[in-house]
Formats: sequence, structure tokens, C-alpha cells
Amino acid sequence: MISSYFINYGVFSAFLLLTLMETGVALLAVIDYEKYKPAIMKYIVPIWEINGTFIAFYLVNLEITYPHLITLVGTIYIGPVMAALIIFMAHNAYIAYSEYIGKKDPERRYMMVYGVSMLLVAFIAVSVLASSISGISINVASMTINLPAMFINGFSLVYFVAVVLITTGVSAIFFGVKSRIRYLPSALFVAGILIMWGITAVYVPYIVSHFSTAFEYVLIIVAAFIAANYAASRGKARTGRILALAATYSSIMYYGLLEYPYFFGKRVYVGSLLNSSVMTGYANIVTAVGGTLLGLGMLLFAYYSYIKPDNADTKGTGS
Amino acid sequence: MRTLTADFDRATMAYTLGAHIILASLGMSLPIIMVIAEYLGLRKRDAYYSALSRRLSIAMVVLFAVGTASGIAVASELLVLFPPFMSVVGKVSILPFYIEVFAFFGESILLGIYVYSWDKIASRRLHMLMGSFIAVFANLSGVLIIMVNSWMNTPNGFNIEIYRDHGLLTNIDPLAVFMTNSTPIEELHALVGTLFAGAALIMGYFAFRLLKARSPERKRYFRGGLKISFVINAILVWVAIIGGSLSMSMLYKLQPVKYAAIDANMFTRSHAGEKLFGLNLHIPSLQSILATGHPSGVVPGLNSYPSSIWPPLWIHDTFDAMLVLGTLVGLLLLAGVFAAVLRHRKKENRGIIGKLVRIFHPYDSRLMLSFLAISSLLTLFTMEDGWVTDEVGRQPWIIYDVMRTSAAANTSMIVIPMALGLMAFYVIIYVITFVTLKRIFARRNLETDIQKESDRIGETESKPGRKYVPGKS
Repeated sequence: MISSYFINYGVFSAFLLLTLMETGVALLAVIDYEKYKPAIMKYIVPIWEINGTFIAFYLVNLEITYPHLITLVGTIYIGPVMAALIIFMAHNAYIAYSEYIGKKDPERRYMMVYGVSMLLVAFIAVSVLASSISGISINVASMTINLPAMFINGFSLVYFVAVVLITTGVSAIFFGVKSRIRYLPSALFVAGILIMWGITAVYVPYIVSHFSTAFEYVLIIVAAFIAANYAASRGKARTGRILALAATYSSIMYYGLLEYPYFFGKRVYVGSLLNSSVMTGYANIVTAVGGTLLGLGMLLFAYYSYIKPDNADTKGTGS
Repeated sequence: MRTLTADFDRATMAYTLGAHIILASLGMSLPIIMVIAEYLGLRKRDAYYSALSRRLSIAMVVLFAVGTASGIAVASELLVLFPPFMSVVGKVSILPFYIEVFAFFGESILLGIYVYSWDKIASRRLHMLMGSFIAVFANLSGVLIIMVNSWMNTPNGFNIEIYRDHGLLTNIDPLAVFMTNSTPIEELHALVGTLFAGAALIMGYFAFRLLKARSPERKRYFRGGLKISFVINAILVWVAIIGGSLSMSMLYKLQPVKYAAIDANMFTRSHAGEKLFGLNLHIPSLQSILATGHPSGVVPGLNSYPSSIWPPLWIHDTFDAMLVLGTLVGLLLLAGVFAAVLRHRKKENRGIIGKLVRIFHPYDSRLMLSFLAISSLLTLFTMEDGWVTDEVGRQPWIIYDVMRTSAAANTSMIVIPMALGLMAFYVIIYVITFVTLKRIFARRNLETDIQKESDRIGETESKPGRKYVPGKS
């Protein structure tokens, strides 16, 4: 049964990692689209396409893993979820428009709309995540939420700052953003991690009490990220990317494992809410088979997108 | 207040789904037409079909982007608008949804490869094969979603009596959802109907553009698209009509209240007649024969059931509208098929037949092109209308005879402003998407695209193909 928690959190971690990557793209697009366009364009297509589908993946997996929790989650988060949906539709539409409009001006404008909408979605998503960790603003018994308090509270805001720092660090390595300070990405990543653990210690101390017994894992994650930074600065971009992604995925996963077995601070014990019906076994089979096919599909995509050369000297789709 | 928020939940879900199925129907039919165009381009070495295939793939990406977001909106709304319902689904019948996620992944990954690797995949047949799998995955998603809808109409896979009495889910069989009593017929009718609506929209677009086209190359290009979509529609419409007839027989057996409301039967009776197409054309005992196979067969009436479980009675009108419009479009397409066949066999030259062929020829008659353009919108309306009939006909249940929609609804007041915002946004995003698609294609010169395809054929084929020659078609 606990394995379904790990599977669900594994899916969530992958989804969150993709969201961080896309937030990185959005940041670059908003800061200076023309300057970062080559880096953005190289990776934006698989990221936005796969990330959108990952939302559905995570939602359905959540419904399988915690059918008893659905009523609570669905009832309290209806406002932010629907707001995020509206913005997400604009985000998807504008990235697709920008790919084919073929003129500089509208393309830049469309990318700006895409970037801003992605940042807004990320802000809402991180606020929802933070509230599900801390339980601040949520009344579990009456299944109600104080929305202004959900967005504006010490934990959520500081947590968001930490996420932004981590995202900037990872994106800098992944998209090859040049900086005068060689280890700035590592500094940002480590600062984000420290701030996240610090604010967690203040607001959700039970998570950090587990942390003290496994501190070495965080050191390994940080070391992996610094190694990624080193590799990227030495021109080994692919190694840098893989290490940075692995370190970030591990850090998200690790945080989630320490959060177990509670949600919403210590108010909901999820150990008793996990699906214990026969559905779990079938769902695990689908996850294993589907996940393998998904992995193979992504490898195929990577091969055609980044490894196989063009047969003809063409630019863009349908040219 | 609970009723108000429940109504908003219902309206929001209905609106979102109603908007989403337009994109879904296009997303299911477009890759089929795109791949057939690529196949014809390859087989005939025809630059026009190749250009058609490429340009359709661009439309596919834009519609996929908006469709993905819209699909996620539907998935999320199910969770936040009807949490108790999803809680039951999560334990009993979620496997089709879960497998659909991977079909969705398959579609998005292959679409990415297909669109961005035209010039990387040396074998055009391999490229076409990838396109075929996009069509397979897109339609598999439709099959899986309809399975869950069939389960909502005829639930199985758990002990319904115990759930009704005690609210406990027992004897769960997660695989039962794949084959409920209504699944085969609902798949036939709903899947084919959705495909038909999407293909009809595309056919209407090509008919309209052919009507407006002036240059020979443009005429030939749009005619190619029209040919593919017309043939698909001419087949699908009759399968959809047969599926519809079978659906009514199924409702008679499995959802008699819905059947009675759809046929406006107030009283249970034998020798029930039928008013054809809602007109004053009454045929005695026809309904009894259609439903039971016997003129004396007893058909259910609403008086046999408490009014608290009656669906809204206006579904009788939406049903009649679907029947009339579907049959009209079917007959129009049939006339087009006969005209095309007769012209092909060169038997159309004289007399009244010749006149009819000239009127109904699907590619050459301007009147028929106008009919086809209008019929595509009517088909879209028919699909929406049929879907409304099915979903409203199940009310007041979200899971037929098991869980009421009102009991499954989220009663949070925030539903109201959010629902209004979402509805407004859908309208805006649809308008912007179609305007942007128009701008994208306006900026891509069709003649240039055809010329490029012609050059490619010249580079890759030793034998001369049907190349593009400006001014000639």
C-alpha cells in the first residue's frame, strides 16, 4: 500500500520537475526572449507537450491512490484549480500560436503571454502545494479554505522564493545561460534548498525531525548539483543537464518521502487513506507498462529531436 | 443554495465538455485525414496531397495544444466539481481513464516527432506509419472515455445494492468497466458520431474554400481535401445512424425511464405508434416493433416511474432534432455518393439523372458545395445535440440508479464566479484560436508549400510524379 504512495509521489515529482523546467523557460522568455530564443526553442516543444499530459497523469494517479481524499482535495482547492485552468489554457494556446505565426512581432508577444501565464500557473501551483504541506488556511473538518491566507502566509511566500531560486539554478544549467559567476547556479540551488528546509523547520517541524536522521542524502543531492554546474561550465552540457535534473528530482522526492504519512501539516493521516482495493494492483500494472512505453517514447523523441540530423536543410515545421 | 451550486457544477461541466468535444472530434478525425493525404501524396507522387498533409499537421498541433489544455480542464473539473463521484470512480472504474493518459502521451510524443521530423525521417512510409499511430492513439482515447461514460449509464463492477443501502463499495471488479451492458453500442454510436462530426467540419471547410477558390492550383488542393473528407463522411454517417437505432433499442432494455422521456411516452402501453421525425406522420405500432420486435410489444411510459427520477422532458425535442438533422445530412451525402459514382461511370449525361448529378456532385456543383459547407455546421450541432440528449437523459443520476448528480456536486460557493470565468474564457480562446489559425495559414503561401513538396518529390523520386506547375491543375 505504501508503494502506491511512492508511485504517486514519483509521478508528482516528475510533474513538478517538468513544471520547474517550463517555469525556467517562461522566466527566460519574459526576461529577454530574443536573447534566449535558441535555448528556449531547442527544448520548449517536448517540455510543454509532455508537461500538459503529465497533469492528467498525476490527477488520475491521485484519484486512484487516494479515492477517500478526493472529496477533501476537490472541495477545498476548486477556486485555485479553476483559476489555474483558465490561465493554463491561455499558456498552451499561445505557445502553439507562437510556433507558427512566423513573424517576429506577434511571436514575441505570444511568447510573452505564454511566459507570464506560465509564471502565474506556477505561482498558484506552488501555493496549493505549500498549503497541502503546511495546512495553513485550511479547515479540514469543514472542508473550507481561506484563499487570501492560502496565497499570503509566511510559509507559502518563503516557499515560493525557494522554488524560484531552485528553478533559476536548474534552468541556468539546463538552458546553458552564461553567467560571470561560474558557480552562481549552484549558489542559487543551495540557497533555495536551505531556505526551503529553514521555513519547513519553522512551520512544519515534523518533516525536519525526520531530516536530521538522513542529512547525508541532502549532501549527496547538493554535491550532484555542484558537479552538474562544474560539468556544464567545462562544456559538458549534456552531463550537466542530466546531473542537474537528477539532483532536482531527488530533492523533490526526498522532501515528499519525509512528508509521509501526513498531509496538511499533521491534520490528515494519509496512511489510512491510501486505496486498499484491488484497483491498486491493476493500476500498478498500468503504471509499469505505460511508464515503460512512455520512457521509450521519450527516448524516441529525444533521438529525433536532438540526435538525428536533418535530411534536408529546412527550418521549422511544414516548411 | 446547494441546488444552485449543484446546477452551476452541472452547467460548468456541460459547457466545458460541450466545448471540448468539438476539439476532441477534430483531434480524432484530423490525423486520419492527414495520414490519408500523406498516403495519397506518396502513392500518386502528388505534391498537392503532400502539401495538404503538411498543412493539416500544423492545424493539428495548434488544435492539440488547445485541446490538451481543454482536456485537462475537463479532468480537473471532474475532480473539483464532483469529488464524491470521482471517489467512487477511483475505486471502481478508473482504469480506462488511466490507460487513456498513456494513449494521450503516445499521441503527444508521436505528434511531436511527426511534425518536427518531416525532414529527418528518410523513409516517408515510416513517417506515415507514425502518423497512423497518432490517429490510433487519438481514437483510442475516445474509445476509453466512452467506456467510462457507458459505465455511468450502466454501472457494474461492484455490489450496487450494498452501495445503495450502506454507501460501501464491495466486490469490486476493476476490469468490469471495459465491458458494461451498454459499452458496444455506445462505442459504435458515440465514437462514430464524434468522428463523423470532426470529419464533417473539415469537409465543410474544404467545401467552403473550394467554393471561394479562383486559381486552378487552389481548386485542386481544396478538392483533394474535400474528396478525402467526403468519402469518410459518406461512410460514417450511415454507421452513426445504425448505431443510433441500436442505442434506442438498448435504452428500452437498460434505461427505460430515459427511453420513455426521449420518446415522450407518458403511458406504458402496447401497440405503441411512432410519430416520424416529430412530424404529424403517425405510424401505428412502429415504436413497439422497433423496440420489441412485435406490434403488441409493451413500451415503457413515464407514468410507471416516480417523477423524481424523470429526466427533463425537453430531451424529446433534442432527440427529434438529432434524428431529423442526422437523416438529412445522411441523405445529402448519399445523393453526393450517387452523383459521384454516376459521373465516374459516365452515365450522367442525359435527362433528369444528368440534372441531378450536376446538382449533387460533391466536388463540381457549387450548390452542393454550399450544402456541404452548411451541413458540416448542422453535423456539429447534431453531435452536440445527441450528446445533450444522452447526458441530460441520464439525469438526475450521475451514475445511473446509483448516485444522484446533486449528491456528487461540490457545494462551494466559489464555483459560481469560477464557472462564469471559465465559460467566458472558453469563448475567447476559441475565437482567438480560429483567428490565429487563419492568420497562420494566410501567412503561409499555399502555392509555395505545393512548390516545395513538388521539389521534394523531384529530389526523392526517379519517376516523374504529378508535380506542381503554376497555373495548371
